[in-house]
Amino acid sequence: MNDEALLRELRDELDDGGLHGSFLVRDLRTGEEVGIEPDLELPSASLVKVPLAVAVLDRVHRGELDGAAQILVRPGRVTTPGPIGLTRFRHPARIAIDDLLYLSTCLSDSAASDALFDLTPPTEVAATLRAAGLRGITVRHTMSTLNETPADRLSHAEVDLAHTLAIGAATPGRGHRIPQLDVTRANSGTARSFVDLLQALWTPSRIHPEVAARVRDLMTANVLRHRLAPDFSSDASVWSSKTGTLLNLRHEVGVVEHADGQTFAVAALTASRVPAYSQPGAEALMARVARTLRDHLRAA
Amino acid sequence: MDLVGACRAFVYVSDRGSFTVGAAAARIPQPVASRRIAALEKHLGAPLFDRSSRRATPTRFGQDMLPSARRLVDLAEAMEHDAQRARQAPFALAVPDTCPTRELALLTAQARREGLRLDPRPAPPGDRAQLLRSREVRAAVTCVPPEEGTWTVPLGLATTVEPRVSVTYLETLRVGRTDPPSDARRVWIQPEDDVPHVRDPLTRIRDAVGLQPAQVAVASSLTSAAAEALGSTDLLLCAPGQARDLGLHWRPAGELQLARGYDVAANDAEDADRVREALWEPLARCLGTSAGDEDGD
Repeated sequence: MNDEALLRELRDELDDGGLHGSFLVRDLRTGEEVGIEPDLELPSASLVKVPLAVAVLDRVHRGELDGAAQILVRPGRVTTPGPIGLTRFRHPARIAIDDLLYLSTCLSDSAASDALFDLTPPTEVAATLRAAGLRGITVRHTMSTLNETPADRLSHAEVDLAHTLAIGAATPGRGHRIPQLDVTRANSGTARSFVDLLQALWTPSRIHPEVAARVRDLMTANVLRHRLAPDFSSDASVWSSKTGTLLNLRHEVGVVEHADGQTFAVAALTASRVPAYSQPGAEALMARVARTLRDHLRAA
Repeated sequence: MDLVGACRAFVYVSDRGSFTVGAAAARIPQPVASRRIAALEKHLGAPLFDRSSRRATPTRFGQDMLPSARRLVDLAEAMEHDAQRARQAPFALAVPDTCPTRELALLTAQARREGLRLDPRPAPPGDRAQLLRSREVRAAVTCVPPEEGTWTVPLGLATTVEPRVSVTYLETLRVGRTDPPSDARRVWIQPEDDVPHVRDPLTRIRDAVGLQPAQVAVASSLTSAAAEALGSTDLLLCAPGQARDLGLHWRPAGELQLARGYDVAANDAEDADRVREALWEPLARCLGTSAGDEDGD
């Protein structure tokens, strides 16, 4: 099947499943790539925790921060379903920067990320990306801002209402009534910009090799494996990734390293038009599309 | 007093020159004619007949009153004639286009017996409301939420292959993680059910149980919806009677109880009451309510 026919079929499948988004798969050895709207900008949600880890580890590497230094972290005390770790803690805790990085990157613990953002604010994370020559990923705010959406103000029974708002309140120019979904104000990125970041972490780049290796290890230890992982992990490959979820947004960016040395960077950023909180079908569909793109690239 | 009745007696008696013959011509007993004329004389304040002669001869006052009395009687007769004609004018009623022809014919026949020349106009829900607004019909059978309906019709899911269960859960249509998306079975909504109180709860359940958005779709006509259900494993949202007519197997939906609700709307409230009361039973059969189905099952 040629590229166009395949892409058209996948676009139809996404549309039937109520998804639209930005997909890109790149062979990190050859630079060949295939994607669906890879330059569509979407709010990045928790994907921002990867650039955050890069910035913090860069400062640790340069000696500005001590990875063993313990930080007193305020408890998140969130009780709504979803968030994990310190975000749900009820009492303050003392945790080392290295361990905060683990919680933030591998468990997507937003309270841990905000403790790191206190040390390395969004502007500094953005500066680190610029210094590494990476464009297209914006870092503008911390995670606590991200959690104050209509979904947190409405009861669980009304969660479809929050999602209906998220889907319907878009304004021209990719703006949105909900600031966290407004790509001109929120942390944002495209499939291409995240694949560029993954390439900079997995292949030699302006990011220091030691920093890149630590970020790679963190992403390999990711515990959230319900989205793309079922279609990419096996005993013959390693799947390292970070997910991002906010209202109707479902993202995952990662790298699959095969035993034979082939390495593919995968970015799948999606928005759903289905007003529901749990959408296992959408998770499976985006994994299927990402896998089909990877298989197509690998066979080419 | 009955002014028209009294004037009638007065005109007939004076034309015939006799209380007995005049009363007979007016088809009233003679004492009634006498009493009415006496009441009229009292009302107008002077005698109308000269009681001294054997013949019933109008007095001078009676002769003066006669032309206006005659006009009043003629006008009353014209009015009754008009009323009869108006009663026989066709009564256009917008009905769902899902009603079977036989039931509509029986409805029209029943209406005739009730003195109503019914003219049923089958149309989809939106068009029925439009026909009523533009006064092209005098009344319309409208879609309302079932709890407000004068008639209710249960809705369920119909399939070609008989399910081995007594209830069809929508969640069973969810595509498994390893199934290709092309295996997704769809639920087709016919235009009659493309109304908020049916479509929206169904859409909400679709999203809540994790079906793909495309798995609940509105068809452009009942025929095309039925064709999808007959030609594949897709399901048709329909009433039990419709399923029977199409040769499909009907089951209620598991997650929610869906029903059509119907009421009659008219620009004149009395028209609506008349249809509701006089035609309740035959309309129930047209709409396919469960009560109307009893003899069929």
